[in-house]
Amino acid sequence: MKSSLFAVLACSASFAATVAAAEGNLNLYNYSGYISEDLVKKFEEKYDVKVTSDSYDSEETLLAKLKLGGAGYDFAVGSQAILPIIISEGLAENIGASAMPGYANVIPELQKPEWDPTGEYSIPYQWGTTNFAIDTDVVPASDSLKSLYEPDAALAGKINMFDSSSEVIAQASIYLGVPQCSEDPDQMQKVADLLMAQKPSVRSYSSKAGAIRDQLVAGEIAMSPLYSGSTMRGRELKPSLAYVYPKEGSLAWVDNAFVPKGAKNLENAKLFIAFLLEPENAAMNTNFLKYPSGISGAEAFYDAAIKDAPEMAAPATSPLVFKKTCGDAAVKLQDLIWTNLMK
Amino acid sequence: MARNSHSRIIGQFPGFGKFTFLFFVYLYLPIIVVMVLSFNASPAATVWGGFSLEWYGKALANADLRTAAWNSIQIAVSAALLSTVLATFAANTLHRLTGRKDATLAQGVIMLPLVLPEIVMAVALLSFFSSLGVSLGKGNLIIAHTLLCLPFAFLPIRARLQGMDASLTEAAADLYARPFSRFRHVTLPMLMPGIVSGFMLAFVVSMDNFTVSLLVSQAGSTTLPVFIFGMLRVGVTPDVNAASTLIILASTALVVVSFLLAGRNPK
Amino acid sequence: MSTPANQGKLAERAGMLPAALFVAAFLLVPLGLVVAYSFMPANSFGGVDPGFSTDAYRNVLYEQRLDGSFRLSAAYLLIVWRSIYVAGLTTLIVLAISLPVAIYIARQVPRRRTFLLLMVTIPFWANILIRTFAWILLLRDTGVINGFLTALGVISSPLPLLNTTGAVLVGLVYTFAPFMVLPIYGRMERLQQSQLEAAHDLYANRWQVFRHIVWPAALPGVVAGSLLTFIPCLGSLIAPELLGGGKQMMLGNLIYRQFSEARNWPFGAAIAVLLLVIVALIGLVQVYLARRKFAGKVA
Repeated sequence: MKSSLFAVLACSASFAATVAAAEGNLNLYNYSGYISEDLVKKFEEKYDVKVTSDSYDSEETLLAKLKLGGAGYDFAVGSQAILPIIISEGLAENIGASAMPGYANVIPELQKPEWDPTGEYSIPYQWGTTNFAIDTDVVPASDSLKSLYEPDAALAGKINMFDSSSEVIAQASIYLGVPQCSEDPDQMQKVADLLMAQKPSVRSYSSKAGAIRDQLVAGEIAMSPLYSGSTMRGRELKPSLAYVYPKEGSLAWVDNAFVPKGAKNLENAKLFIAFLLEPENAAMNTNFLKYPSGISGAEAFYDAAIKDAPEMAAPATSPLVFKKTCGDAAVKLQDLIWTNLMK
Repeated sequence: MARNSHSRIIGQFPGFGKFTFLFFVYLYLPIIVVMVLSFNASPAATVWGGFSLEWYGKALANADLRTAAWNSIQIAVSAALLSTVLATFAANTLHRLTGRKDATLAQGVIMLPLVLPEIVMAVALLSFFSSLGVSLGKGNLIIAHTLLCLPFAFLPIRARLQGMDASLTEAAADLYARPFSRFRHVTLPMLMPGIVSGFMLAFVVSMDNFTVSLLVSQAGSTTLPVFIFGMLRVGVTPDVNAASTLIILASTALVVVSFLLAGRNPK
Repeated sequence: MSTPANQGKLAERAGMLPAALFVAAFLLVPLGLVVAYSFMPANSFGGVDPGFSTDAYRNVLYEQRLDGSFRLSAAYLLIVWRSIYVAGLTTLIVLAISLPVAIYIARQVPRRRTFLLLMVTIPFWANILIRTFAWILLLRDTGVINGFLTALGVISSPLPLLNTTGAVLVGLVYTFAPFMVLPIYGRMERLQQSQLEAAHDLYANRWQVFRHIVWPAALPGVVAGSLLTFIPCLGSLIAPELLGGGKQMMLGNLIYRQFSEARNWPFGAAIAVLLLVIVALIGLVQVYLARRKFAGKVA
């Protein structure tokens, strides 16, 4: 009894003594599952670096964790909406990305973009749209957000909505023709009324893309906002799923790879960024995640099923509307709308 | 479970046996479902498609899952160890001082983490670490978990002390002049079952914790529950079932072992 | 008083100091900080700015309307009320379930008793996310329960079980049942067989035995178990989100939201303070009951 306890204690003491060494490591901070494991493995083998990952559930969490300072991440992914804040708040390392030899591979539209005008801090990771998925066996074909926000009575209880106020309100604003991040009470009241009227038809509010895809495939829900890549992954399991490009516009995003300030393994982080600039590697992510890459030349390495998939490119009929990060006043209005929706 | 045994039970409240049986069905049904579905060959989470070990292969090959499990174990062992040491000394002292005002107060303070809603502690620790800029990697979580584990480590030790024969400690007081020798040679060995059980409870409380871990974790300290939460976000795939089954089996084994250990030393 | 006596007094207490100081440093100080944060202006990107502001508390009662004016609003009080209601209902259900179970287990022979107790605790040791996830597998439209009922021909289309308040209750009751069974069992175990036999001679029926002997004996366990259920329930985060479908917030979700997406730490802190006040009030009631010699200790 006594000896066994001491064995336990001795064991645990040795655990506690295992403080992570910082040699040859790379700490990724990313949405969970938002990277190809094969890609990580390839990098580990090529450079003999041990890669570990932590995940966040929303960009706000990412921002909060980075603001905590020295959280110890070497690599993170942030959208065009949040990147200007991250750069202006001094939360990203200047890695001179645009001077890297591989930067020429970045597709011209995304070189030195609006959100990183010097291109020194980031490179595009993946980009895509946030529209909605429908089960065409249940929901009539659609080209409008009307189907989602003013749903047919027959679809009551078959709809999931995101539980992220910023995404839902951005999409609802597109539908109503209200500018994004509006601080105009009248406009926001319209958004509030729309969501309130929609709620009785909504079965659940969840942003868990995987769970949404799973429920769509199982036929438990028939319509939900969803990302283009997630829809494609669902469609491979259930062909009746379709991704709708609304005529009002597609909510678009570009995720960017950057290095958080104070990274402990700066050189490895730069190696990894350069690694991601190679078309073959960028394509590994696309093949796994099913979002278009920001690297030109990656198309040559795409899987056949992806190349012509409708989810990969928005048609001209659905103009891209890039999501913004709103200011204080707008966030407050949005929170008010959301709390009243959920009270 | 509710079968009639050959015991000398006086059936004071008939029907309670059947009720208890139903209670156990309620307790075990979800666990059994997860275990059965972990052997499901079909990728759809709830449609049976034949027997397969595929998901175990997937779960075990998932490097992030392994890292998260290892993080959890490191944090849980450290937190359980720290909290058990703190709790042992505290319980011993508080037992001696039972009834004194300051001892009652101290006991109340030590029990606080048990009676506060976890979300409140989580935001308190988040505010604390962020305002001080404390960034110790896993250290932050070890501190947070030690706090949460403290009452769970404390209770079994305190209970053990209350069950102990006071005359023994008095005899020990005659035998050993120095309080520390007394503690080392008499009290500690007698306390061992309580300490082991406190350590185990603390360990599991740490392994199980989600809310505080979600808010307080830093680079390289994603724990198993936080990782599983992320997995649920990406997709309810059957490898979650397989990973869950492994975790359930591991924790059950741990409970049974600690139970057997404690059982060897009946009060 | 002489100096050596004081030194002795301190030495006597030395053992409890590390634990008490640890809690003071890493819980009481952080809680103080939460109170402080609740009186500060919000930083746009999470955290707080220096300064003093009571906006957070005004927001609890007064809703700033979309046009900037203020009006009395019940939105947050409704969330508070729902949390208390759900936590209270959970506690009652847990009590109703646990009482017979604890009494039954306590009346078994010792070996069987320990085995059953172990069986009660094992599910609790499985991870909370796994337990919640397991309930999703059971309750969803294509889940085990609906599949079973459909196969039996009892229903033709799946019952909406998931994403309901009922699902939240099922998950919470599941989580907290052991916290009630164990303390009640602890009290029932002390009840002597002879006492019960005497009671059966004394009272006419089982109900009277229950009322006069069993219930008073179980009461301290009931109080402890209720506290251990009610308070964590108030701040629960997972069950409303995963089982309730995120349709109705509870206090835990509201606080978490303020510290994440809503980026309003002071308001989240103010709600946390509100929750603390509720817990403190419960604590006062418990102290009052303890004075009446009920709750000696928690386990």
